[in-house]
Amino acid sequence: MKTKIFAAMLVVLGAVPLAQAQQTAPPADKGEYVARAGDCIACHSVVGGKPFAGGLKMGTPLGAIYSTNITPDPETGIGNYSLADFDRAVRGGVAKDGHNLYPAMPYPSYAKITDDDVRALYDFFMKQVPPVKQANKPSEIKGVMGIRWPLAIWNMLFMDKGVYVAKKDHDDAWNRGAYLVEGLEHCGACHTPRGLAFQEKGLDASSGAFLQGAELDAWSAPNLRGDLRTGLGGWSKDELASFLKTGHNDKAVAFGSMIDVLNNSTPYLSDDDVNAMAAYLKSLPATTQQAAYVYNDAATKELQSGKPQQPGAAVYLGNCVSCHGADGKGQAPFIPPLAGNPAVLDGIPSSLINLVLNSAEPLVVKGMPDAYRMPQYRVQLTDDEIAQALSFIRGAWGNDAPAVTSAQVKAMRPITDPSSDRVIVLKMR
Amino acid sequence: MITLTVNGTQHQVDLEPDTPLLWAIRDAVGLTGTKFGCGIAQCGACTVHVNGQAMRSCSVPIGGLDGANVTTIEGLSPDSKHPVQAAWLAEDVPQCGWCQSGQIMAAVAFLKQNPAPTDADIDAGITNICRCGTYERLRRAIHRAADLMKA
Amino acid sequence: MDGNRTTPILTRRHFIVTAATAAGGLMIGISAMPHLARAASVMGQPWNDDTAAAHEIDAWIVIDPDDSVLIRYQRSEMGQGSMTAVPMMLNEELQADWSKVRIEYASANRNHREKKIYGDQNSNSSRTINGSQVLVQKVGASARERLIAAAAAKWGVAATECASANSVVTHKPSGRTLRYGELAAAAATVKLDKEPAIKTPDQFTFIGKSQPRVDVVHKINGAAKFGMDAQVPGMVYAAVLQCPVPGGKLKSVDEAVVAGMPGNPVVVKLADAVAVAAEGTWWRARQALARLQPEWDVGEAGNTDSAQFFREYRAALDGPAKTARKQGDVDQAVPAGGKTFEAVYETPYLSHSPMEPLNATVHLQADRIDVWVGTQDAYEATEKVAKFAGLEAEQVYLHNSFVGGGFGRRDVSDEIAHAIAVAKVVKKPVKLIWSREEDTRHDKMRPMAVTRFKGVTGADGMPTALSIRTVAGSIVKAAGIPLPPNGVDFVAVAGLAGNGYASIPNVNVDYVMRDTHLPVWWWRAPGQNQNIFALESFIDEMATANGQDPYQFRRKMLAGKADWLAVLDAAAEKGDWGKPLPKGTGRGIAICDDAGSLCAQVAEVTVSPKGELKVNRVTVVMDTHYIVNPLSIAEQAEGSVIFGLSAALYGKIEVKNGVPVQGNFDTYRMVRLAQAPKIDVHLLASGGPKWGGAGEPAVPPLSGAVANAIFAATGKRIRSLPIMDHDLSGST
Repeated sequence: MKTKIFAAMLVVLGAVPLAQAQQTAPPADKGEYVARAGDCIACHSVVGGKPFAGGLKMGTPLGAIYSTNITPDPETGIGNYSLADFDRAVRGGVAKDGHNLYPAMPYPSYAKITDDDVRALYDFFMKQVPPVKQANKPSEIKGVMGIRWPLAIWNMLFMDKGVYVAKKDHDDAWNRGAYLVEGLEHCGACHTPRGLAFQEKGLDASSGAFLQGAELDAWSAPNLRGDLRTGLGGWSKDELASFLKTGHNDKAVAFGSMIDVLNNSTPYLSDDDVNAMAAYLKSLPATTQQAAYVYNDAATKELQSGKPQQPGAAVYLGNCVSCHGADGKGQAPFIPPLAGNPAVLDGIPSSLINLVLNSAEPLVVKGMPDAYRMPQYRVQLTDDEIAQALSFIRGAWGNDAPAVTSAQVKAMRPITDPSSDRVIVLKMR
Repeated sequence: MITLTVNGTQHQVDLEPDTPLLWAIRDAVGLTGTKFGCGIAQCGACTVHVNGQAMRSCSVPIGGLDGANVTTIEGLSPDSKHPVQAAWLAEDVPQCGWCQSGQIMAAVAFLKQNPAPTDADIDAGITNICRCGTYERLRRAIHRAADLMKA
Repeated sequence: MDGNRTTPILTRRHFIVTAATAAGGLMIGISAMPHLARAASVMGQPWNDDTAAAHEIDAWIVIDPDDSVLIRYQRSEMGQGSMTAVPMMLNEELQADWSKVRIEYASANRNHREKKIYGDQNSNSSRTINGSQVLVQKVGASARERLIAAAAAKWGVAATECASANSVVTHKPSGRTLRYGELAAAAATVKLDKEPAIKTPDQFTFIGKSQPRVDVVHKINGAAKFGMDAQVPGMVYAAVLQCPVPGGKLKSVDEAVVAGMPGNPVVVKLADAVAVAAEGTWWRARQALARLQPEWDVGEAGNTDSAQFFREYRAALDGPAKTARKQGDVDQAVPAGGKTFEAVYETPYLSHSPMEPLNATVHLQADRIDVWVGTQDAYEATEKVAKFAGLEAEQVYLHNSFVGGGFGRRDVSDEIAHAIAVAKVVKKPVKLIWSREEDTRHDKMRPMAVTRFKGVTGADGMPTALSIRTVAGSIVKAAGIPLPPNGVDFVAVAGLAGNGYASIPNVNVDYVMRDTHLPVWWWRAPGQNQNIFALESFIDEMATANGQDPYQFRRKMLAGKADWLAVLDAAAEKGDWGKPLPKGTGRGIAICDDAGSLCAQVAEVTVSPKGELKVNRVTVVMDTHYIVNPLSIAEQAEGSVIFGLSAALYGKIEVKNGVPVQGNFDTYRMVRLAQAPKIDVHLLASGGPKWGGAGEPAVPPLSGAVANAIFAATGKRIRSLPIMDHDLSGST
């Protein structure tokens, strides 16, 4: 288990989307649109708090840090920031007082934002966002690690400076998609594996590691490249666009930290922008050669016989079959299929274990909470039963992912326990 | 508009596609024998048969059901004499009764697959919740129904 | 038939019924009764929209010319079987042909109009039988005598020469007969000089014989009408979201977000909740409600959590307390060779969680309100409806339905208040349904409690002193019942201040009242459902630490209490107490006196090396003093074991930021078939002055018996519930 550090579960108290806005059309205000695309609110707010007032606790390998108040309050927020100050923070990772921001702020991605968009964003924060007086919390990174100047070196090593430059060999839509995916939407923050220094191993399409999938916050953010089984190689561009628009398509339903993206960001983008992102993502080549997923009904027949041979099939029959079906096809687009779902085929089972134990926070697309939710099984199934059920699912209907062990489930329990205070609550979003 | 055949009668259901089958049955078709218990497919009080398969109707969106054949507790038998119903009577199973439509529909589907179940088969195969705690009699009734169906 | 009083079927200390499976059926088996004709019946809809009928003998009994008999049952049917048992008691006297009897609910409206002619209408505290027995026997006897008088008048003979049985009055000397149906009209006008005496138990010929429950036929085909099944033309559906922190208030809500959603949703703001009413289906109301983002005023309660509550309750153990019971001096010196004990037991908040979430359907008009609801107290609910609606009780027509599980929850009427509030705004009939999450989190909870025991045992290993102090919420206060002069909530200490262990010379029971913002209420076997777990576990601690057999230890403590010993002995015998068990398997025993009945249980559990617990078998012996319908008593005992087991194994409502955490069955777990033990029930009927209840007494001993069995199997003492929070791995 790579990172026990990034546990991620908040108590789900019902649908509490951060965004108050309920509009169905893309935001008319350009700055707000850019803020949506940058999903600033996901990190710079807490559930029940004021928008953009910060305070979200984020676990890092060195200790917890807190997102800051980015409302235009002059004392506690960014009210005294000039456009240049603002720009230096967003695209350069340096605050007005000269201290380096922790790279939990995805400034290596935001560096690609255009001047126009930065200005629009600045105007939005200064003029549209109500100021909130709320002091920032100091980071909990202790001792020598708390000194921020090495971050400047980090920035030299790991930041690609410069605004996004259109690639001549791609069309406008692709370039717009690249700008959004690599830049504003900072998809790599979760989906690109990180190196020893916590840096993303690739920041754009030129890197094979970019969006290759990564484990973070006790979730496995899936591979977004063209891999046929574990990536999005089996999804059409339209299916991808539908997912970004609604969190649903016929192949999957969003979960984990992606919930924040759907609750606050991509559904608010224009169809053109979402299609551009989909087109761009579809262009990323596979990193591994995989045979296309082919459905196989052997498990269906085993389940329908009522005489499950594998222990996991029995658990599936008792707990999962009513929603996800004996055929593993779910009830798309409302309830996801398990057959051929890239999240099920993911080599890292963290997301699956996490989902079974804890369910997911509610998906609230444009203010409308999802009609159906996954139940939690933390208090209902043992480690053995969950491992058996997931191993069955990962081998059924043509799926071919490695089995899940009881030890993996056991390890995930405490770090994702919503009722435990020991959890390092946090999120890299 | 979604077409459902419920207990042999065709209904045009004018509800949104995300509507759970449960509410279509109760509120649009008007059959109230199918019960709401939890809304997340945990208790089974809403169990009906969709194209012959037992499903927890609170978690089945009607959007995917156009043309489906649905059987509810009311349609299980014309005279309440289905062997499972007969066994339920003989063992005096229901107490408050709220979960029992679902229990019976689950048992009917279960016995189709397991005509001669053991206690262990029943325990694994019927996961519906009964808050009154009728499990002892329910288990006996399933065995009795299996015997009746053999006879 | 009249003189047929040969074999009294109820004798002291005589086993009369065994619903045995695991134990092997050496007693009279009553578990399956295909041989019994389905006699008396009800309609799928238990209420009658007309409060009176033609051919009434009186408000309770209608006999039509074709001999069909209608008996009105005045309380509620929620699975406890009283809708069968109470008319059985009536018919013991009436002597009608049971196969011609139909039963419906008595009208609460009529009860209000006719000076409580049906008496109380509540079904709680396991007292439906106890509270109805004399009344309905009188009603039945009076009707019978009037039928006989009518026949005697017709024949011009003395009533004393006539007898009745099976819906027929016979003139004994001549053998002439008249059917009840031929006599009913005349009987209705008969005024008896003197009301007849009611039968004594030794004269019963009908009471005590198993009858299939009358409601069951409608509960296998979907016909039974529950509150949620009401269908009123033109009604809209309502969903409700109450302040997540109980007790909080609605500050504001933006209604605009539901505009244009299907079903023309209407947002209704209530003081502590927001509701949405929509057309077509409840789902639309629920969906529109989900879209709302209300702001709440939660106050200080919003900063509380369970861990803090337990800390505060523990601290309160050392604060001031009220004395519930005091005998001798618990602080006297420890006898030579004696031992001292101290332990603290903790039990969490619990939700009732009946399978049918709370709901009510109302049709409010200017001078009349109709309410369809399943309530445990139609009379009191009628009064509340009148208040909510601003009408007189006589203008309230409450159509009580089959109750989809009550367990003490369904007599608050908060769901009806919601429905009426919505109806006032939308001005249409409203069916309001709570989601499961609302039902769980906005339950009126079983109180949490922290109880400290101090005990002393003498050289002989037997207790010489027992000091108990419990810190618990007050249901009595919540219910508005005045506390007795000693300031002790008698429910909070139920079972602790007695439980038959009078042989201990020095006893103190103290109570500290402590509540949080979570409301509390009666929950099946109130007080005892947690106190007996704690007490019977602590007794076990003292027994086992003194190397004594827990069963024999209790026998000695109960010396001289023949009725308690009979129950305890029977449980030990039927539960195979003392017989060898494999490693990892143990038995535990516990006993209580609840709702006027005695109940002892032996539980057998197995704990695997991995710590997985399986309750294999529970043996129940219950002495209800009298038995009306053995079948439904056995069913209540079986059900109580499962109800108690869900609480013991999994039950807890935690609080975080003031909000009850568990909301649905995935987090508030219930026993299912796979966890359901074999249950064998044995009934005793020891007679005496009081008729005991059957719905609750088998709940309290369960958790104690299971916890004691876990100790026997593993050596681990369970001092807090639920058991799932204890790691039992490696203990066997």
